[in-house]
Amino acid sequence: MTVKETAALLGPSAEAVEALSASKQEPTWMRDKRWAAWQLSTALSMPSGSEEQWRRTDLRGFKWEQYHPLPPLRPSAGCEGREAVPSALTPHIGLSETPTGGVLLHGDGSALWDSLDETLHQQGVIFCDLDTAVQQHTDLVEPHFMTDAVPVSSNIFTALHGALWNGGTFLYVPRGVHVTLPLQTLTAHMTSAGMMHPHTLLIADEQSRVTLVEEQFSSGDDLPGLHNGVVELCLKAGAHVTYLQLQNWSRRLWGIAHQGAAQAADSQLCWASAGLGSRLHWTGVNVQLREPGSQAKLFGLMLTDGRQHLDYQTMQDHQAPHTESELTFKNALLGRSRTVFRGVVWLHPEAQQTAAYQSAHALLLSPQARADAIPILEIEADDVRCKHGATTGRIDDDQMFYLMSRGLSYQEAQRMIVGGFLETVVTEFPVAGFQDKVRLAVDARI
Amino acid sequence: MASVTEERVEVGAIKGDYQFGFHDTDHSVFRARKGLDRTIVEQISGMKGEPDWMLDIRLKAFDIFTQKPMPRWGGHIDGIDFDDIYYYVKPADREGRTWDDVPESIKNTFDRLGIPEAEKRFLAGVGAQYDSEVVYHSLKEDLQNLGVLFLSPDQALQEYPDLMREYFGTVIPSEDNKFAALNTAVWSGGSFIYVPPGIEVDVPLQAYFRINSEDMGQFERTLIIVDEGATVHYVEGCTAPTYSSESLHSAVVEIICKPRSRVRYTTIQNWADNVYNLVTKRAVAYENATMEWVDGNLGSKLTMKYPSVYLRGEGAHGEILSIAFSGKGQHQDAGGKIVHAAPNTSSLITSKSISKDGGRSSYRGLIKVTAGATGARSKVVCDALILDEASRSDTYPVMEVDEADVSIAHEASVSRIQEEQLFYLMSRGISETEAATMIVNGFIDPLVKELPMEYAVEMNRLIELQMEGSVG
Repeated sequence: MTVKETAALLGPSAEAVEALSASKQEPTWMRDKRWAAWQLSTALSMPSGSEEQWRRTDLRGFKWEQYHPLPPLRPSAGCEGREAVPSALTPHIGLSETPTGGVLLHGDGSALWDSLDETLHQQGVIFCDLDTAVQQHTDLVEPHFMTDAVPVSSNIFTALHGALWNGGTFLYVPRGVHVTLPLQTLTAHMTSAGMMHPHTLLIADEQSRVTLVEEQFSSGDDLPGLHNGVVELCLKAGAHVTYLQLQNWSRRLWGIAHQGAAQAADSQLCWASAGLGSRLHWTGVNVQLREPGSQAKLFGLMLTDGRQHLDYQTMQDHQAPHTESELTFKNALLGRSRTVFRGVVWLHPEAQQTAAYQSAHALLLSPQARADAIPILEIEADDVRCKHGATTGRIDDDQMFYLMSRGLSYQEAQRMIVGGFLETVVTEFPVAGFQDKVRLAVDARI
Repeated sequence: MASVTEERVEVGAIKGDYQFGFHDTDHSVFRARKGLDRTIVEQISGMKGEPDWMLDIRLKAFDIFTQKPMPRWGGHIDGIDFDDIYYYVKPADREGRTWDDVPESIKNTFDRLGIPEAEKRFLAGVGAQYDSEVVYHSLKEDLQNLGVLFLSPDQALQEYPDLMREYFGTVIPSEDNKFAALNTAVWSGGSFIYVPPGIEVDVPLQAYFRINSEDMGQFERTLIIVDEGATVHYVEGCTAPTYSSESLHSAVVEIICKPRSRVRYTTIQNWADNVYNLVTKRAVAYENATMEWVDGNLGSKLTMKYPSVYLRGEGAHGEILSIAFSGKGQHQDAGGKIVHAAPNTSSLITSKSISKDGGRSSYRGLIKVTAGATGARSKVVCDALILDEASRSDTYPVMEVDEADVSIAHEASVSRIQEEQLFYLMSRGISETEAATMIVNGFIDPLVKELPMEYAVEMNRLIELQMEGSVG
């Protein structure tokens, strides 16, 4: 089947799997992984809505058969020069006033451009598109790809992702290497009714440090699309990883994302996600603190309007003693939008001397908006400190009155209060340039 | 205080065994065969001489029960064998009006539980249910003269059929859940209370529930209607003997709080640790009414119980105070639900749970604010204490907010007894067990304070029993 014919296909299919793998001239092991995942997916069904994780997100509008698998723009992996980058995408590259150590840009499923600081390259840091890594770094990709942080067998979405993944980011930091400048990866959705399956695989070897900033956006705000992505973060002993994500897809995109972190002893993770885009987006975040001394900080922000629906399902999975985690989520809702935050703190019987915190706050700006918060604690150890809090409220009339008495219009006052409400989370994002990106995206919306 | 001291001596002698674990010889006058089908439902209704409309409700509920799947959340209820249960056991021919009317053997049981003493001391009225039927009911004369009704729903069906027909199943329809359907099909006994407008019943009404037969299912049904501006406090206690096989208690409690009324419903559940306790409790509160649930769960193998308040009138207020103590082999899946369906309604849920010796306590709750319920305010606070590493504590709160003009807050914490606190008390010469008991009693104190004196004493005593031999 030619690349052109693939574009005529609709929904996931064996033909699409075959066409993808063949056009990329993938090694046998990846072909086998794709076919095993495809087999798995045929045995699985879509969530019925009665599963705890799927109860609050109605997937009836999630119609696979309306979207095209995206063929690679070129038959083989590899990037062209910066001049090949469509001008619409260039403003997204880089972070304001924050130099980056490297950039990787994807348009739909294809890598369009990449760059990496020469020093980092010499230190053995690998930062490239995943197709290239599959060809050149089998020893790293094969053992980690959908085997551990996000197992391919988790559900139908991960299985289909395993079969149809197309385009992605690969980042490897060798033992002891500290990458001080943030690395940036951008995924642009450019084709109408395209089916996106981007994959991010980050492996931070022992005692290494790295920051990866990921931005997802569409080339048009009303471009229909479907996203089924996976992010895998593998933290070896003592590694420090910061992963920051801005989800700003088009308002007509339906998305599912599975993000997983597997943390070894004394590793530290800072995970943050700002959810602003999509018609409907469900994100599962599974942080596994597997060995003593591991720590995780999670920050989330949601800003929704219109008929948007965002659902974050987080898991702070403490499997070992002396582990710590802390989660903060803030969401502001306008219009008829709806947000769901369901966060589980799970302390296994082995997880003694652990501390886990969780707080979630929603600000409702419209009487038609709806916010669901479900912070769950499952505690099977006794020597623990564990707390959670959740609040839902509206703008304080006194605050509005004060601002408006100073001559601000209703909209300006509202914008100021919402900005202030979200700002406490934004300031926790460790990269100043990323903070600015989120602030700009927030400002553009209220 | 003298009586309290006496009780403590007696408690010490029992050494931590379930103190209500005795059972008396079965003297039941009628017992339906085991298992459940339409014939049994018809038989129960027939024995009671019920009107046809009630039989219709029962049969419809039976169909719903058979169609609904077993719930797959909460605790493990697969151990329930619906074919191995007696659905109806009648212990006596008629309900006693005076204590002397109650059959001797049953009277002995309640004597041992201290019912007549309690009645003499501070209760306005008392009902006692033994297996499927209410065996004793009394109500102070002055309340009777004011028009207060306190009787079994079976009697109410004969004497006040209009009230029963108007309200029965309106708060909890059979379709609500499998066990509400089961109760509606085979219900027997319980309490029926009506308080006329403006009447304040200032001393509690009490009911006592006792399962005596083995393999018994108790399905009492309680309906409380509190008219405008009236006040009532209802207290129920539950015990059962310890048998080797399991029993099922599946009650339905419906409460209607008319405008400006105040209702408090207190439960101290201390079933034997082989009883499945699956109860649906719900109240509807209209304009400016206040509904309070005080729910103490100490006994049973598994309890799944989430008292609810539907705030349907402007300014209504709902409160739930929940305490759970899970010991060995126990799972208390308790909590509460509040639905804010009218403007300016407010609610407060306070949950305290203790897990020990491998027990599991779960808080499961829902705060729902429907669109249009502007100015709703709600606060949920859950505190959990875990006493050893084999035990488990979970919190499953759900907040669904469909309205902007609201203020909703939830907080929860889980911890174990602080070493410093134990050390401090022990350095003062207090044994470790005593010190741990004091800390636990202090932990649940905000709740115990809300109980009537009798129950507060009982509660502290039960905690002491549960704490015996614990190391903190």
